[in-house]
Amino acid sequence: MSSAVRSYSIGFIVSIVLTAVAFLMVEHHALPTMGLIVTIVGLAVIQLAIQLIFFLHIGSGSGARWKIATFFLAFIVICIVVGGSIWIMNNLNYSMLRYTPQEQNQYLHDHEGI
Amino acid sequence: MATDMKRVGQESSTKTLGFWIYIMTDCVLFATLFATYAVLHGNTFGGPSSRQLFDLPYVFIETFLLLTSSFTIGMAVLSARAGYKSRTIGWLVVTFILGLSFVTMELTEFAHLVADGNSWQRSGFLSAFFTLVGTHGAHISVGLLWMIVMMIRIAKGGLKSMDVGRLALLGLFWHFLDIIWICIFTIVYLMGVL
Repeated sequence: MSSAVRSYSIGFIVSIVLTAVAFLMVEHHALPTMGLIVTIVGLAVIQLAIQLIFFLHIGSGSGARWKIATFFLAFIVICIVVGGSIWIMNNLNYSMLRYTPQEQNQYLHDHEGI
Repeated sequence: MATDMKRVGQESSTKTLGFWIYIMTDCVLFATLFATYAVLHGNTFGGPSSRQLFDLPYVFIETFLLLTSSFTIGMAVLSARAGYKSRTIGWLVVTFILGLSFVTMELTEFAHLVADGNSWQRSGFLSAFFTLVGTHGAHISVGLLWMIVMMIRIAKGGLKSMDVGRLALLGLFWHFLDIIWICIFTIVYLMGVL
């Protein structure tokens, strides 16, 4: 078996195992909810790293440095977009909690001109 | 001759990098859809929530199909590089069947949701769900079309170096879609039923 085939096989088997573990833990509710969320996100992050290395070969081949550079740029943009959206919208929901929907519309109309 | 070979090598690495940058921008596109989904997840407008809608074992089978297809397309690329024409086409056929089964299962899930009155018009949550998962499904469908083109080209013209390069890019695209699906499986489905 060549090293390339071995690399794909390792990535495949590890991915299947990680997915199955996450699925079974959620299906049987093996932990309290908060613990489960942390665990399945952790398993997913490990699996992403495994697939980036064994399937996408991110660190090898010609131009590996540029691939990693663009990957980190995308990663930063993704963190800002996802983190920022959730942060802002949660704050907005929190600030608006004390109003009914009608009062919210009235408030937006009076103060923001929307 | 040697400089020719070098030039070809540089061209293909430039193409790989260009395609890689496209994939990274596509990642950002999916990130915006994930952010939208995360924000709208609770906005069910009196309709069903993710906990009531999702059938986890069904989605697990979908995930299994896509993961396996990611492995088989890797085998197709390796066979093409080694110069085995019929083996390359064989792995591509397997990948195509797995990908087609995945899309069929996804469309069946969508059809059930719509038939029960839970379409994208039902709530903000379902709009975000259909947009995110549907965009991924559309990418997979484009990948399947690309795969048909590659199978025909290789079957007719053999393994020319240009086609091997294109097949490698298709492999990159397919692995990327598998990674996006792992995020969808974890964030939308697994966390959705908790």
